[in-house]
Amino acid sequence: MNNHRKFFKKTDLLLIGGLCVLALILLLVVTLSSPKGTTAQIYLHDVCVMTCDLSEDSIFQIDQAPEVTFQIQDGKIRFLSSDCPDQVCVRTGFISLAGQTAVCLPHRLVVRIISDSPSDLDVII
Amino acid sequence: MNTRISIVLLLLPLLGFAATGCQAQKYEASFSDLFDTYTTITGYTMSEDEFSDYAAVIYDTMLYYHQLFDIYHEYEGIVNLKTINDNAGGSPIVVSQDLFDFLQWAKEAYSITSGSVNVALGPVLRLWEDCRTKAESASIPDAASLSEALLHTHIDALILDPSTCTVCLSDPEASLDAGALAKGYAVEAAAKRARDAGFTSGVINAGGNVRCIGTPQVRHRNAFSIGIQNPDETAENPLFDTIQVSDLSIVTSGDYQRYFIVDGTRYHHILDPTTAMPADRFRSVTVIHADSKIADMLSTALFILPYEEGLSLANSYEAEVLWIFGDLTWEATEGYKAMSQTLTP
Repeated sequence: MNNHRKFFKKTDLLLIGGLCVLALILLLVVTLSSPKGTTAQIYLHDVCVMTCDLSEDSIFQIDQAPEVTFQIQDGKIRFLSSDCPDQVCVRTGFISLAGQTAVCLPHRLVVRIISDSPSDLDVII
Repeated sequence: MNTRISIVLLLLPLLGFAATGCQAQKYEASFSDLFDTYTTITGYTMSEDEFSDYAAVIYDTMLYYHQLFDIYHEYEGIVNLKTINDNAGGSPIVVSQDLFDFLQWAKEAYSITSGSVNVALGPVLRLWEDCRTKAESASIPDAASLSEALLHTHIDALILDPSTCTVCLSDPEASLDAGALAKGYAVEAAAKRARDAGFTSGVINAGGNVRCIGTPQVRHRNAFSIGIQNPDETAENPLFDTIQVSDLSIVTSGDYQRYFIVDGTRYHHILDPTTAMPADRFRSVTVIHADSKIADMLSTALFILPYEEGLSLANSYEAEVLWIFGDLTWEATEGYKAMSQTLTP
């Protein structure tokens, strides 16, 4: 009877230990696989046409709207130039916080900073 | 006995996974084809289909009001503001109950805000609009044209007859522009319909007109976090403040982004109806109120009115307000400070 009880204790310990190791591995996988830095999405006519990683500086256009230029610098993104009359998009400047948007209504172009973290702001106005 | 404990231990993580599966998920939708603005809808629902249904109700409601308030386009079978403007000086025309209700609200807003929110400001707004859209040869409207236009912005030219549901502009030169009231009115109607359909947790943001519905259905959160933009674009921190709200509407009127420059001077889009020139007391005004249409009206009015006058108007509606002045100093109501995460008196 005494031996019997001891046997169960050992397996329980092994089980708990095993679960802890598994949890640690899972935690590591989740942490390492989540994207580093910030991501932006570019929408044209309300359809996402590009997703960009903001960790690499660049200046670029998209094929569908060659008259608009975007710039990524230091983890931020902006409309560098646009031929639209109101220039609201360019004046918005760099954005980098999840929830921030820069919008060019004449071209129906939107840049959004995206994130899945529940601690982020819901809206920025 | 111990075997049972082991089984329970093994099952616990499974239960955890099951619990996560039952939790509401966050979904987003956005569109940029209504009210000359970019609108996002965020919702916490049990399934994507459920969210899509609510997003469709919101979009359809906003599309309906977009067409009613449109002053540039006609739509088959719809009497809208363009119809009324085109008919200025003519005989009364029958409008839908929804458009009639809006125009009644617009007249009410005029008297509430001592004329700082004027739906009949069309002639003045058109002059500024013409200048703003000419990017190369930037100029501002000349004083004589503005004074002349101001003569045709009398609210009494808008005649409403509830018994026949008819509307008429008695001055042939008068024209309506729902601008300062349109988005808040449409967002409030959309939020109400979505809520009636079962939407209990989400946010609608129509270009600075924010309507929170319920609270976010996420663990450890009991309010939505709203960032208030810093009007100073050159500032290191893009946020001026962060507030925690649930079930309320937040509307910001600001002089940044929508402006044009003539001879080094900025001219933004919120006009003081008494001078026909852009209001220049504040960089931005944020208003919090349960009703989005009231928040929208007050944010425009408080951006134009002197601080003391605005404060007493805000108090009479129990609205909470943040005023940011030209030098980036600020004033806020006590209720606002209670919601603020960063501003301390």
